[in-house]
Amino acid sequence: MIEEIKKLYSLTVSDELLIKIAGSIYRFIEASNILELDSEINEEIEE
Amino acid sequence: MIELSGTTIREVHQEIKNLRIKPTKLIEECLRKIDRLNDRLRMFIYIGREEAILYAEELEKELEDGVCRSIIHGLPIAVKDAFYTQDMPTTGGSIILKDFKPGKDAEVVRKLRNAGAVIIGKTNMHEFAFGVTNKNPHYGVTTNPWDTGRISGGSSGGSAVAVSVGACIGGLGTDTAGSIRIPSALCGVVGYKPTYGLLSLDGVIPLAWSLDTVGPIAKTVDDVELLLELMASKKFQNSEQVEEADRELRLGLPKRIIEEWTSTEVEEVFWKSLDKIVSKSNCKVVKVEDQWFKVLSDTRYIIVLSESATYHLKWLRDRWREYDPDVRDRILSGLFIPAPIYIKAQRIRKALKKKFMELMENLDALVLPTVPIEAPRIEDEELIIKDKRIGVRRALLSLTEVFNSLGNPAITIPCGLTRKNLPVGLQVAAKPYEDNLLLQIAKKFENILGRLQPPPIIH
Repeated sequence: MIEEIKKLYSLTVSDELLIKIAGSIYRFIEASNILELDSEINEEIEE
Repeated sequence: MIELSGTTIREVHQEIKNLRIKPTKLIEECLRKIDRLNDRLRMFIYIGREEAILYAEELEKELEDGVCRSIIHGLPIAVKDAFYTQDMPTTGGSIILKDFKPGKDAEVVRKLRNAGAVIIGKTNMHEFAFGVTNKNPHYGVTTNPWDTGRISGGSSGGSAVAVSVGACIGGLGTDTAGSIRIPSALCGVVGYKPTYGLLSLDGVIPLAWSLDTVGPIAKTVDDVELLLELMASKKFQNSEQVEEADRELRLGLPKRIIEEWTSTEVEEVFWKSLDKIVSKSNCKVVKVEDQWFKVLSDTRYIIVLSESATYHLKWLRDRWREYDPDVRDRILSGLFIPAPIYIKAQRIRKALKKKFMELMENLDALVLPTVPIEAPRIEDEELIIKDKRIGVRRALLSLTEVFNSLGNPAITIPCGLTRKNLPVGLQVAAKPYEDNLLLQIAKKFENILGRLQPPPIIH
């Protein structure tokens, strides 16, 4: 995925830095629980 | 000569209007103060020496001819370097834009200038407003006028410091997670984040379009209100709301989050202030549910990363080495957030706005500390709050960022000093578009709590 991102955005940033950043943000997304919100909020969203 | 650090807009206006103080003399005095303090405080990136004097001469001539444009005619205003200015550079606190001269004023700057404000310079900020410490590797760390071994907070730190020391009568800042309120609280001044959309963002370097707001920083709530009136696109005054502030006020208190995350030093000052407000005014404090703080914080972070990456795409390819590494890494993070996650964050935010309105149905405002810690030392990266280790950045924005997600107005007013003689801010937040009610409530609280003395550094 790093190669594709670099190509898409024409980045010259090192692979190591991008791997570190990607790992960190995906850990944050997982920990944030944003994909599994409580039903009350989901109901609100569906309205 | 008048000392601006202890003076209000109305007081200076009386002197200027009658030419007891000439605008040119006032501006020269401010420039002398900036020259004396800027090396220690790093509050200005660009000092508009010649531009300010030139404009002050024009305004002085108008006064001699009997023309006074407004209450801020001839008064010095400091502008965060995120706002376009037609006669000064606009760097956004970056090296990437060090030679950028937009050739036009941001809409709010234009309005203030037309009202007779003298733009005295461009203030230091966290690079591209993407941070809350104002530790800027290119233009220096903005230090706190109450203790120069500590940070001002940011990202509008330069404007807050300039107001605090009286290098100007008011300042402009931007606020995407607390960037007006955080430095205002840490430097002991009043900072106002209006309802999202109330003030124009035209000509302001963006951080995240759906969260960005601009607002005034000044020494009193009345000063903030005067500046807001001059900048607002539509009339926001509502006389009904002025009267409403005189009835019993119902204040919501997110007690659990305050007790969990606020340092003992700040809590002590906050509870004392709240007791004073309750004992001296007609208000009732009600504990409110605050589980939504965490969700709003997470969604806001996803939104700010995604939107900032979009804005910075143009520079990420060739100029990524020119960013502060911390800022660069946050911007690059946004490239890895999938669209469904960003969209879900926006939808959760929408749902929580509805929940917030339900929560506020029988309330006039929420009260809480603005920042849960005292101004951190420059070298601090992490702190321990009540046995919990927390990063400085996370701690600084933990009580302000939710109101950017919700889009409602929020203000910080000084409420006292800790034992280390560092200012603490009291934050009051109201429902969206109830800006005027919020300002009336804040004035009431300010009257009860009293104003802080200027910081010792000015003597």
